Amino acid sequence: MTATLAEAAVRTRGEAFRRLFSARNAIVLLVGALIAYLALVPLVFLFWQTFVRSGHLTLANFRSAYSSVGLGAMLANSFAFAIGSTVLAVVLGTALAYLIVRTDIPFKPLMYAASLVPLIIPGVLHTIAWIFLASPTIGILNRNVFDHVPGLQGHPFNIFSIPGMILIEGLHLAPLVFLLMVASFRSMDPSLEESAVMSGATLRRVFFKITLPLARPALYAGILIMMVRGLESFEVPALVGLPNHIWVFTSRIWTALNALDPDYGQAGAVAMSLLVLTSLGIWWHSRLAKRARAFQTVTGKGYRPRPMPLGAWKWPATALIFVYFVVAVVLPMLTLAYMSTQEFYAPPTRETLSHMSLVNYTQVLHDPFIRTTAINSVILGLGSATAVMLFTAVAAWLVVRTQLPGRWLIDNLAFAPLAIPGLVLGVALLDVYLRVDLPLVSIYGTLWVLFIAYMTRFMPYGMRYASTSMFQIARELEESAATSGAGWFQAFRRIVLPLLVPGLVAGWIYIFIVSVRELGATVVLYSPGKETLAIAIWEKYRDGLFPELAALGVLMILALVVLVMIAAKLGAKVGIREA
Amino acid sequence: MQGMLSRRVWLGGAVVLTATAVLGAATVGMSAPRKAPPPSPLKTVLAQLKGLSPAAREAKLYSLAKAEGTLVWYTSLDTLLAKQIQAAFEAKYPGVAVNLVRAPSETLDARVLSEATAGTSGADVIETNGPDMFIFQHKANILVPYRASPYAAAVPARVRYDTFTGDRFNNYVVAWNTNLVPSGQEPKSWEELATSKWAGKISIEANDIDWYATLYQYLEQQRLAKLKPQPKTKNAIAAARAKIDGELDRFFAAMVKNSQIVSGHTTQANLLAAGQFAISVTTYAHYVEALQAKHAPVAFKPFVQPVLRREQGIGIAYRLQHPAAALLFYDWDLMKSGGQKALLDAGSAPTRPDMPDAQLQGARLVPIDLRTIVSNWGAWSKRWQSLIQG
Repeated sequence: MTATLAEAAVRTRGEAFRRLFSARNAIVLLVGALIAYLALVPLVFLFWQTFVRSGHLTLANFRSAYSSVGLGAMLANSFAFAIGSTVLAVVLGTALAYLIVRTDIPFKPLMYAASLVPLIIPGVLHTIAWIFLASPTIGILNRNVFDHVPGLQGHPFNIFSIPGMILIEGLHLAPLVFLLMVASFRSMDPSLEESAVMSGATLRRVFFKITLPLARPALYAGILIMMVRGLESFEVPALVGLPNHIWVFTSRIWTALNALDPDYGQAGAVAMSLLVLTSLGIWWHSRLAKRARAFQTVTGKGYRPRPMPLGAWKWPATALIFVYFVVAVVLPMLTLAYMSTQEFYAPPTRETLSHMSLVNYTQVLHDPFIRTTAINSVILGLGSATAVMLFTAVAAWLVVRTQLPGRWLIDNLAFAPLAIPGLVLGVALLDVYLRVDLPLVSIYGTLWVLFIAYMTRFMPYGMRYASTSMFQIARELEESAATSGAGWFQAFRRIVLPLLVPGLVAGWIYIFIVSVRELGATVVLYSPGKETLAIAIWEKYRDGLFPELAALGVLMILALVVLVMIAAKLGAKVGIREA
Repeated sequence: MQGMLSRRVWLGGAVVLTATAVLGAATVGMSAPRKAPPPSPLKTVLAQLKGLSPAAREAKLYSLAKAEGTLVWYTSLDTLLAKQIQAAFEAKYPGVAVNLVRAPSETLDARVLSEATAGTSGADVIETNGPDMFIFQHKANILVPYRASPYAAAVPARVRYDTFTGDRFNNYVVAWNTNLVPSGQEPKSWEELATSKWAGKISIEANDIDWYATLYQYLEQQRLAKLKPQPKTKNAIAAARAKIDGELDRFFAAMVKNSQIVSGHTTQANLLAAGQFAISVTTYAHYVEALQAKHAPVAFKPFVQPVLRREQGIGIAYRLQHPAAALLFYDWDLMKSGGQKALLDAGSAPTRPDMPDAQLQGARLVPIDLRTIVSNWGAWSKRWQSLIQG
């Protein structure tokens, strides 16, 4: 009797042991630990830096951060800028995605590319281009276009204003919304729309009553990310806001960090406020997860999506995309191209146009420094995009699919770094990895520290891409795989992953691009020989070498366009066929 | 399916999370540096140089430096200039490579301070703004106290410090775009820049606290000296000063209100050349000179007087890897035929009084006094921030 009990106990223990170390649990644990590590290390540092002063808990940093002058105006500016650019980006991005994925708009691949290219232009380049386009004194639009329009008085475009900032940021962020919405529209069962159309609903009615509500997870994620990005944006407030005394959260943080005796505590206090705001956003977004099943439209049923006919709206809609492309891409690119041919920047006149040369390109192409930075950027882009999408796919499954207690914690942890401005993350990681080396690899002074920074910084985006797609895949597919005898790993690899691929590829491309563009954290963390392309641009900017910067920018954008096209082609082959 | 995830997995996960959190906290909570400061790394090299003539010293240092092969130079000098200095040194001393780390001064500061906190250093030689060097001097074990370079004696005593020596000057001039400010219309005085004539047409750099403090004190002294009759009693002087300070506060506020705020002096100079604003109030003269060489429409003469002048300093890092190469570079940088000439050739202003910058002839030069300004840095910095953020 006792023997049997003991045997049973041993068996149970063995069973539990075996279960504990199954492939699934190992992966789940590993991913959880990785996310916790990436998110917590800088967060703990941020807390410590903000609330502890010489070994004592204190609120002094908050007092000094919030007793300074101009606080009300700063808050108002921050929200006006963030909300304005969110509205612009979400409306534009959603419209573009809908037109391209769900309607019979002509030239689809071209239109798809046109909507994505703005994403590729690094923020600092895009912002500088717009300064030279729409500055009231030297802007090409003002000087070379509006001056010659009869009846027009003065210079109507002043980019150094909140509407100007919103325009730049909104145009630049729209492709991110576009990517999120494309993934969502693509993996949406169109039968609901088709039934509505067949029941006589107008196209507009179908869009607002059926399509948009179904795309809600992606839409909310888009709004959330845009708001945070707007609050966290650095280049636009620094280059366009500051000259006209428009202060926002990040310029305050930056000023505190940029001082000779950097006030990390005060920067931390401001960053902490951003963190609270974004946490509220996450809480709001997570309430959606509870109603997740309502949005599942990728089911076991077969479907054959049919594009909505636009009818009379076909050409106006095409024109809309065209105008967007011209404003967001062609004008800034032309400005950069013009600038790259000059010795120093001056608005185009007959004289400057007669002094064009390609010498800046020769200089850039023959610069061994630029070559090194390009290689580093590609390594980091490929590495962080792949790593982030792999582990966030598992994490998203964990959060959306399982009932694991505390999975919200993983969701929040993966999302938390979004609230840490790049600069602050850079400073935090620098202080951490100057003191600690991980086993086997040395971190500081190598590309590893940038790799860790990028994984941390872009994990939230990976998570959004992966979980948005995951929301829409009905559990029944996995359940049937399990019924048919597939193990967890097999089901994940054979069913979930392939269905996720459109979302994952979109996320991968996005993270690749933002890694190449990343500046805030890199500028604090890079070491000699480990610079990136964005650093090269930044250096040229700080050295006032606008023409060389423009030449480098033009080359970089062209290279990225090619890389992204390759990635999109490969992604389309690996994933399920496009909707 | 969720039932298959045992509670134990969750417990295990929780343990990992907690451990990570604790590890993270412990990691960043360590405020003590990991390594104790090493003894002065220059000792052994300096011992070998004792009693040598300058030429023999140079030869000895060069042979030791060649054995080290390289040195890391942190500088906030702009890239074009820094590369010229690097090339000049490497041409003079083949076999000693200069590993150049150029960054904006704020980035460089963040890096040096972080490395110091962690008890490491990437640099052998650091060269940046005087106030920054002075702050480094006050923090333990960033710069090695070193006054023994035979070439330091040639620069004014005022720019020699315990841990660094001024090797060049940055001269703050008021510069303008000649297309936008026709000849005869140039600003003639500081007061003029605060008038509505220039509203929105001038520019100030975001971090020029030392400029602000020096100009403020200079104008205060000027106005005090001009008072007639001169106040005699302590109270009368204080009252007069308070009145003048009130006027000056209004003057600076009006000038800042007139300004576009730009971060970075090179960027500011280039935007001036492009015509983004008509006047730049806080320009470094050598950037304007570099732009003039490219035929950009910029000028700073006749001067708005005075021209404020601040020394940039070179110092040796405490935790360095290449002591002989660092000493060689330091000596060379202060040598008349070495770094000083290279700086002058590149358009910068060396500190040696026998190598004046011809472009600054006629300027009334007022030195920025690092010692007094840095000791009141917090207060000046606060006033400046409220001025530009208000």
